[in-house]
Amino acid sequence: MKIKNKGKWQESFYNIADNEKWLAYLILVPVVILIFFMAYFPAIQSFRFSLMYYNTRLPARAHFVGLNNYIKILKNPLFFEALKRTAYFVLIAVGTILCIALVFSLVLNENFKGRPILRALVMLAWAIPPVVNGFMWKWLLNGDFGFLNGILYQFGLISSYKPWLKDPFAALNWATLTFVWRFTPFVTILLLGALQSIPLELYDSAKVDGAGARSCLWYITLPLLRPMLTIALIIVMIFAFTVFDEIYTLTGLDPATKTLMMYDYELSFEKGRFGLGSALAYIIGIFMFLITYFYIKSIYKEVKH
Amino acid sequence: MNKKGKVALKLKALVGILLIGAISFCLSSAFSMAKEKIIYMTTPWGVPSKNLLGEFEKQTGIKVEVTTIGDEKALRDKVMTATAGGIAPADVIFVGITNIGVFSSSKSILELDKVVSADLLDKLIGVNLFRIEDHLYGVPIYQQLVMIDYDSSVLEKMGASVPTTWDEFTQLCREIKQRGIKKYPITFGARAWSWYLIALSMGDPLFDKELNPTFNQPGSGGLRAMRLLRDFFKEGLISPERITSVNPHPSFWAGKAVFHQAWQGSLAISNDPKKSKVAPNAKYLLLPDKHFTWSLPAALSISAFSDKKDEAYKFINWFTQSRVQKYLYGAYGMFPANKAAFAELGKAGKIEGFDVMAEQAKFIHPIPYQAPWYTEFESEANDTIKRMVRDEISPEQAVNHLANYVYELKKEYE
Repeated sequence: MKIKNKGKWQESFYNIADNEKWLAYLILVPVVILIFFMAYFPAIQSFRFSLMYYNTRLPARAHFVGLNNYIKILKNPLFFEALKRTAYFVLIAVGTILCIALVFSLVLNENFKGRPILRALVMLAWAIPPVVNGFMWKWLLNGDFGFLNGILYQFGLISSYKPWLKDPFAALNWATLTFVWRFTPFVTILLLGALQSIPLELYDSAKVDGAGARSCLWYITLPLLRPMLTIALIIVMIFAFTVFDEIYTLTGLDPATKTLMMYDYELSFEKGRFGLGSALAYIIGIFMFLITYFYIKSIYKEVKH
Repeated sequence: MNKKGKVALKLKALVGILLIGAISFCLSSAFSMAKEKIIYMTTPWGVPSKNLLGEFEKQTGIKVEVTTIGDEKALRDKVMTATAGGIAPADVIFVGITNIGVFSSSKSILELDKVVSADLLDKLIGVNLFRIEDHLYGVPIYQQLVMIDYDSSVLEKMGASVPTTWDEFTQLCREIKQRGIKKYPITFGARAWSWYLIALSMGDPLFDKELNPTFNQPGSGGLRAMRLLRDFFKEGLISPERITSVNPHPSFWAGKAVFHQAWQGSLAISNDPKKSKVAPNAKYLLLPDKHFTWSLPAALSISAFSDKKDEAYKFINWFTQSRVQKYLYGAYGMFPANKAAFAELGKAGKIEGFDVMAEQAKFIHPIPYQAPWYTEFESEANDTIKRMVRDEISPEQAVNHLANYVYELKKEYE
């Protein structure tokens, strides 16, 4: 009755609000605006830059160049060097993380004293921010004062302090390890969750049929973990592909660890080439799109399954 | 409650939340506007003490929020990104000489000719270093020659004299290493600055007047310097750690090296027992051979996008006062740009190694930081030197690559 006494505009407003679909849209408006300005607007702007000669040192000379920036990037040997490094980083990181996380999750799934404490400890590395993680490893690996050198020297395992990051290949491997260190707990928790959802009856019946621990792992655990392993694989791939903080804090813009993201940072910010940098960002974006496509496809496949 | 009533309640709750948000935003804005506030973006060695900033606030009613950025490169990235977006990263920006060309060409900072008084400029040393094409872009806050410090106690123990040529320098370092006095006698980073230091002191200006490279000519100081730097790493006279951790200072202050790429004023730190194990034995070395070095001063500038230019100028004016300048020297070893403060420190006997410094000041060759492409070149030089000391390329390939890079850049920027 009260509503009927209001003006016409209020009446129609309440009618809109009465419709749950419209109410949902109304409530979503602020978030959509925020996302547009935080994500889509910069993406559109950087796509525009990718089609321009845009050197921040010479802003007055910015002009449209079509796909020239993309062609320049794809013709540049530095791009392929960075791509190779990235591929290596992703492969090693993903493989190592999945293997270690699988072992950890299998151990943490067992009942033993102190399991909750161990689970909390495993999560600790994931709770450390990437930049802090990078600095921590930088200190650990320092050739003059580093903790790793200190420990190995004290135990007589090395005769003198080693410059762990001197060799380019070693530097890339250490950078990979910093990422593995941070990401393994996350995947462990994912797999642990999946392990706990496997019905125990399956193992009981297998045991009745005479299956040992290895057969249980091979014929029950791993097949049922496969969907989660696929999801974990794709998530880790995405993050490994775009890793920046750890490498930047560990080795800076060292050519030895210049992955695609580092190369993009160098082009855009060190050298002020926003046009080229944006084009490279879109090339990286295409790679990411492909990975995400398979990720989403695998999720849907799993839902159907 | 019927359905309409529930919906009305939800809407009222939503409007209520929005109203509370809007009111608190207005209140916080009003509160922050009650006091004028400016943002000062700087590297760690440009930060005045809290007490000094408090005094400035009392004097002027302007609160200064200091944003500290790890180094000049990171600061440049932030300023350039903000410029691309047409916003001010801060009202007052610390501008090391390495960034002056980039910031001025990108119009990130204001031309200060009409803002800064002639009286203020008369009080300062090094004003012309921050002029590009007759426009002033920064007010100097400190002066700084690149120098070498050494641990005199080691040379005394060995009975060695101070090296005057790079050959003597190298021989002495080899002896220090062979005798097991220090594992790594030199601390220079695998970066362009170490190369400039050696090449300039060998007498190679690196660039001619038209900014064409001179460092790639046969027998040039640039090429010899590249070879020497490579050899320092190869022979283990420099720690391989300096390839990734290029900052040479901590290692010297930890007493792990004898010679150290330093700066004019660095003895204030090197001889402070609280900060350095070398204290009180650090001394300046007149650079070997032809003695030339370059200058790395810094200035304060106003962001071109700042809407608090008057307040920013008040801060800059205050920053160049004697008290603040002397604080910077005491805290970070930055030599005052203020002539009076410099004289006061001299009278008080607080300037160590004045004789060598005065002699070194006679041999300055500028690095063309005012060229807008220069930071790109320096970034490439840093990469190239890393690859060279890792033996991925030869010194000859390194200088030739850098020379070609200069020509490419010049062509693009013409």
